[in-house]
Amino acid sequence: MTDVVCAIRGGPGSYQTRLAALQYAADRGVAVHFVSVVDPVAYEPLHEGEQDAIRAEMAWRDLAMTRATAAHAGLDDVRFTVAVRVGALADTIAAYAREVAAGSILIGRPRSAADAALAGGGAEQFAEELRQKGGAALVVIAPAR
Amino acid sequence: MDLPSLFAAQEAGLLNSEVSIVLLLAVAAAVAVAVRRIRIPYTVALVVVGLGLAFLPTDVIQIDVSADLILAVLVPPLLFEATVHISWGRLKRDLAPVLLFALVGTLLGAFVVGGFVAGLVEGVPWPAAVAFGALISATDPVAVIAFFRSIGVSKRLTILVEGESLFNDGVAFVVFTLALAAAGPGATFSLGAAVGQFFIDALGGLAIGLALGYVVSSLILKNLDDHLIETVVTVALAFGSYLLAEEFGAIFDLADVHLSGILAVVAAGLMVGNIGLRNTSPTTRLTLENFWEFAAFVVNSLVFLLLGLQIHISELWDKAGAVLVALVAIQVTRLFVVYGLGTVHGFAQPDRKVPRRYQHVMFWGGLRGAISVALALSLVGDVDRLGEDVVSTLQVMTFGVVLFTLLVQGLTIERLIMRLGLAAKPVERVEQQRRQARIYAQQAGLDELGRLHDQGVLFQDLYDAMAGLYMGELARDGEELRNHLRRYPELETDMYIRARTDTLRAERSALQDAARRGLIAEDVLTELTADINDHLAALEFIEGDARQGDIMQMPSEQEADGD
Repeated sequence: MTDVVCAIRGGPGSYQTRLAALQYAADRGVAVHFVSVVDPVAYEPLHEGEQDAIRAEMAWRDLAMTRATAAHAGLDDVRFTVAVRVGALADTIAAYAREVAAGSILIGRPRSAADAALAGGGAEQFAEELRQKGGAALVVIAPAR
Repeated sequence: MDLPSLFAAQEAGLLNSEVSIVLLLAVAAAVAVAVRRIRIPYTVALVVVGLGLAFLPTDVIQIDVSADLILAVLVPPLLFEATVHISWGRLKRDLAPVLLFALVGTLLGAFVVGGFVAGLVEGVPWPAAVAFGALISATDPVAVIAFFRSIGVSKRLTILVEGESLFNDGVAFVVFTLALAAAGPGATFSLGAAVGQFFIDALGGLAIGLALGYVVSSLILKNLDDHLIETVVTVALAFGSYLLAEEFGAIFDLADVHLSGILAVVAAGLMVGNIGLRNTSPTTRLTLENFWEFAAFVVNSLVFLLLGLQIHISELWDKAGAVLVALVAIQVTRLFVVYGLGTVHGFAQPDRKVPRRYQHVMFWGGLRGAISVALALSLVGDVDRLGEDVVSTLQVMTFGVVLFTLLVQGLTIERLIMRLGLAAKPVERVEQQRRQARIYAQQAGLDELGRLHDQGVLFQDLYDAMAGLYMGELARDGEELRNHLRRYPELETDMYIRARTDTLRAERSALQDAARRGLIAEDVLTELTADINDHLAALEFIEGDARQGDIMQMPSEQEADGD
């Protein structure tokens, strides 16, 4: 089995996404590589010191939150890494999946019908784009609640 | 009158004013206590009580309300306190819409509302109508922000509302001053000169505030470690920047030059909040925050109660037509400003467009408050130029508009925010805070118990028994908090951001302490402090970024929330 890439943002639903990714990796005995993608539009105008700090703090947050999630769920044995990348969402996730030679990419799904309705076609379009560019199987994680 | 009689008269006047201020503060405190029981915003309650004060006999409260008292004494603390909390990191990301709403929106507001009033309210000349349009275009976020905090609205929406309000206060004041200068018999008006004066006023005021704020922040706040002196320095800065800008022409013998004191205070407050407070110890920060919160509370209370004293409810009734015209005018203008300029901005900056749901809140949340009231009160200095009747009409219209926006919009904005889905699960958040607070308090109790034991005040057996009880409670509440966070895991991210922010601030304080003790050189302190400041700014960036939602939701929520 090959490793898994899981794209997260640290938003309200990221706990569920992280948890599901750890569980998915544990079930298959593989490692999970979490990647946070920073939107370049807001990031690039910042000076170098701020950019470095953003990447460092995101990595800190992802490490801390993933360790806490794994501890809650008793999944401390699952191997995981965290990475922060800057760029267009789908392209960056796909490139990262190739970088770590992942067999599948996990992303979270809108948490409710209302979220999905608000998204219009956006969410489906994004999944389709990632499916085409990813070069790996796309797994959309359903929220646990 | 001989000298002793003059002193006696002045003393009596001073005593009367002091008694009146004490009475007003007592009323304000009573109102503050009352609003804890009935869930309405404090400013709304003050307006209602202010109306009632007008029925008191005239000799009960005697304060000589002058333009100077209002503008030079009451306005600076209000603005300084509001500005010192604003994060430049957040503000600069939305500077374009904030300035668009504040600058273009206020100018539009001044002239469109002015047009309505000049055309439909009898006896109000154009310049006075534009002055009213300007003063009533200054939005007051106090009541709205209080709701935002209690129900957990996004920081981007908060900064849009606060930022617009701060800058439109300054712009409104400049237009207000220029319009009044064009009022009265013999006054002349030149559009070119007014536009030139507008930019000199605004840019000059900002430059003075930035310069004084920088000096105070980087030279005084950075190098001192005395919370009392640092607080006094910020008081001097708030009033000093206002006075220096307003009196710039007189001080430097430039008779035609007038600079905006309000914008000077705004700029100085931003400097202190974003540079000065970074260089102070936690004790100083806490003292400063408490002091300015207190100052703003007192001033807000006085402003609203003083307006209540100036207006009689019968005047409100007599001039109901004028109030109605003003109300329709401000709503039509606000509609155009928020949605029209919001759309224009969306085209110009599509990646940072202000979501439609935010625009609804900005429209209905455009309450008018202390600054409008303060400017209206300051019109007492223009009675000679405008006439008593015009001044009274403008004051009554201001009061009517403020009353309506606070009572009707202020009391319904929370429901609108909930309906728009912009509140971040307040019940869970409050519950989390309650559980955390219990643990925090119990831990403090346990620490104190240990101290008493170490000092020999508490014998071992009793200490063991009491500590055991505390630890049992801590374990139980800790488990409950863990369960709560498992049920609402998104709260854990907030907890993480807060904890990380606090730890970085502690690191910064430790560095400052090390520098004061001579353990590290100044340049090392500067370098490492700048690095920590970058990390703190990064956390703000991350917090805003995370609110966009998770990967799959990003296209939708970016469209919907955009922060």
